[in-house]
Amino acid sequence: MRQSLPARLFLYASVVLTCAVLIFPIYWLVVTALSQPDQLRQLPPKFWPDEPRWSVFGKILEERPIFLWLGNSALAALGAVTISMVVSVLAGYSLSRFRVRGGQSLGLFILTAKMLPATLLVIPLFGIFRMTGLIGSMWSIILAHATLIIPFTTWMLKGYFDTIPRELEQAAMVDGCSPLGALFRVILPVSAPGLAATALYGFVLSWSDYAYARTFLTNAQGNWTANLGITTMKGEYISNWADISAASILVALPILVVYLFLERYLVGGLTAGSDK
Amino acid sequence: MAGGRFSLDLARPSRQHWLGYILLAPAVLLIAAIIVYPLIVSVDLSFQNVGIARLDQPRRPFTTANYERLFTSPDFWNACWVTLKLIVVVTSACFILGLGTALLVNNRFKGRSVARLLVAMPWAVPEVIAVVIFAWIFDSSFGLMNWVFLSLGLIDKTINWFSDPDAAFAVVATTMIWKGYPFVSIMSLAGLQSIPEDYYAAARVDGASALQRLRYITLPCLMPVIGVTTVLVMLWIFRDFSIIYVLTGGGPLKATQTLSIMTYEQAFSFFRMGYASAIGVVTLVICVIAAKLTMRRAPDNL
Amino acid sequence: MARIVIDQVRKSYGALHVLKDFSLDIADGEFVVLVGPSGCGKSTMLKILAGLEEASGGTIRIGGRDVTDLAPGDRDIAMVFQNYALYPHLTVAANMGFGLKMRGTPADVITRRVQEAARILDVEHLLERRPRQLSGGQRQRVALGRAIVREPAAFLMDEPLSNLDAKLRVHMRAEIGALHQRLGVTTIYVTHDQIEAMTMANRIVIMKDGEIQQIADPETMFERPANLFVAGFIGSPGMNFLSARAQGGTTRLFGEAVPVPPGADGDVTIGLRPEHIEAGPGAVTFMARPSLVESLGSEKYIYFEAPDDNRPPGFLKQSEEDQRGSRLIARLVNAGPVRIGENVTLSFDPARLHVFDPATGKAIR
Repeated sequence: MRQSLPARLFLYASVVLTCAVLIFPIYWLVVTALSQPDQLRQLPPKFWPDEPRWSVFGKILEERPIFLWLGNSALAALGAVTISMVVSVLAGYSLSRFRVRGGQSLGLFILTAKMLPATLLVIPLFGIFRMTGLIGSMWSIILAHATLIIPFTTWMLKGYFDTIPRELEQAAMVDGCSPLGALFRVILPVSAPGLAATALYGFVLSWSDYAYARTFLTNAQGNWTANLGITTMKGEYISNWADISAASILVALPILVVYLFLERYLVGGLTAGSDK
Repeated sequence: MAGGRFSLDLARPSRQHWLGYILLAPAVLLIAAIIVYPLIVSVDLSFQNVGIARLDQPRRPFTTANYERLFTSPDFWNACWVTLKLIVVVTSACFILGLGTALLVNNRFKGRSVARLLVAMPWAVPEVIAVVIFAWIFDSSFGLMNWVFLSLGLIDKTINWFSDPDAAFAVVATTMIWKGYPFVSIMSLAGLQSIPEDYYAAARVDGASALQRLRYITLPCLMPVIGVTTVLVMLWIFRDFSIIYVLTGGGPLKATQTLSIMTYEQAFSFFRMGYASAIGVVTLVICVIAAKLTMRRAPDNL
Repeated sequence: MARIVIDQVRKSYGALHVLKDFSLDIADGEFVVLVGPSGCGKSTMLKILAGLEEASGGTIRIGGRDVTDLAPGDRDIAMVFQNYALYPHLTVAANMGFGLKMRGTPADVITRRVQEAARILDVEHLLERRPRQLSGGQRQRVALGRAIVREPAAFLMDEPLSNLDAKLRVHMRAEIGALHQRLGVTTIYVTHDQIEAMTMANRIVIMKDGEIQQIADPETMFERPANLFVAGFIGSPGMNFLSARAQGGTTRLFGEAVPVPPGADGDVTIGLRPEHIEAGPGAVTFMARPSLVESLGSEKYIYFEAPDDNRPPGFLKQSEEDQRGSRLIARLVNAGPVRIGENVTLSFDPARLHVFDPATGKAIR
């Protein structure tokens, strides 16, 4: 149905206005980063700096080990996602295909685990990591992030495997595959998009963590993740919002890029199984 | 081939179901080690008078003192009240914004896919970064929000956002709403797209107005999605640590101290891990109840 | 190629018996169709035969070898699925060669055999495509190709035609028949469609509630159904059932005395196929007043009420689409004009009647 011109104009106006208001904080972050520090202390504020200070990124990279932080975040995410994916692919497949005794209760437990607050697990994990000497190491953060990720990925993958017809692995078994062969030669290749979406989602979960990093890594500067690094800047740089904003942009960028280009996958993972 | 495989031929009909257990084993072991065991430790700690958790030392005598103290502590009831307030305020605002944006970008127009991306973009901003943004916008001296309010004549002197209890609560709520509404938007949009066009065509034929179509088709069809999403959003607020902790640390005067923040503060600022675990166990019970509620709403998910 | 002997195979989930003592001896090269309504256990039997499900008891021998607990891949069988189950990430050629590859067949042999199978099924031009680029009929052919490439001892087919549209189904039916003629491989075919069963099978096995009702060739199945269920299941439109009382070798139908087998005594259920009712007078003649006339051009279906004395027994539930209540159907070829509400003369040959015991449902001969 074709809409009338005023209706269309109204629609466009509301879309533009809504987007502008909702995105404004992100825009403001960019403006702040590009402003001269003294300009930020002027009222009325400037909505676009007179001369954008692009050099701020170079400066902040020199002053702060941003790349180290990003690298640590990436390492933590890669480690946690790898462990979680290996475990959840197998478990998700089992929950999807086999009637395992206790499988129902395990599924229920995993669903509950998805909802556990980090502040609950962080205390015993702190004790366990202290006892095992893992505190401050990348292993502590990888394992802690795995507790966040595994419940999500197992559940998502089970949902994804549920959409793949059983006849596929039955055909593979009649063709001479072992059940594991059917999983690896047929089901996993067919599930590639689902696997990618799930891994990506796990990556975002790990990248967003602050509680575990702050608890386990505060005293291990060399292992700081990006989020932890940023908050230490907030504490000490009360006045230098330009620098913090520049650093924040660098930290948010990887996830924003992933979001802009792979939104379909991420959203697919987010909504999987929950629209029933 | 048959001889070598005989020992573990899982393809045999009588053994095919073994694989279900074998595949589950790594997950069960890992979950037992990094989730179940810590949970047990947590419950155990909550019944001891422990400062800093030391698992290599003999456990302290059993006591219910932590719980007794907890339920008589005004701080605990304050934290419950703050948590509840935050859940109600943020959830309702997230729904208004999220549903509104979803309905808006569900219209047909040029650039719709870009608009969809932009509208849900805050979802992809890490919470800590969102805090940086809003901490600056609500800065007491040069923050944008004070200037806006002053220019509009809503206030005559700048608000000190982070030292006034109500103002600080508002800042926390605003930040959480901005970070949380895109999730509702994404979920509702997925729900909207699964409503068959036929329903709307049929309603048009029956002469239903746009408002009636919203009331009698869109919203009822969205109800299942909204149900699950509500629980998830509420749980997210309930659990959230980083936004509040980095923004206000639970202050001023515990005005933004939720149960999560209180747990963490007690454990890692005052080193009363036994007491903190008791709060944690209470939150766990609330989570289990919420999980049960979600399960009932979405039985197909199991 | 092989003879398949299924001996007392059972399947139960706790107290639920989905398959009861299934025994069947299938000759080498035979085409056997398992047919029955959904939930009758036919698919379960096929899955057990394929090794995809475990039997609760009984044995299966293929070509003299006990395969009861052998892996599906070690049974030397090929299977065609209802949804084809083509591997979406592989090309048609790779799909067809997959089973050979799993068995370590050299690449050049695989290529040759895939080419040959593709030629037989006329899918040579599709070999490099992926399954999603194929039409339903093409997918069906590829699925068949994947089965024949392996040159197995037996084909198992699980409702392979039910995802096709009506026209293509008739075509593929003939083609599967021709393929069987050409290759002569033992085939077990599962369907819920009695027409597929009748047209394709050497022998039909009719099942209901996990039990075999009758095993016979299509002709016998139609002419001499063993019980009421088989009689109602085979044939379209389904058999008419009338109730009557028999005494001393006769009974009364439509007010006429009709001879019945001497074994029939007391209450009986009489079966009369719609195609065995003829227009005009004959051995037993009666008048009917049509309540509905359907003309298919070459033939007419005439619906009329059964006489009060012969009301069809209520317990006989026909198939879903054939709930005709107390109405009878006559299928007339070359009948003159027939109008609703106007009496018409019909007749039948008493030799064509089927007589059943209403208590057990068994045929009385």
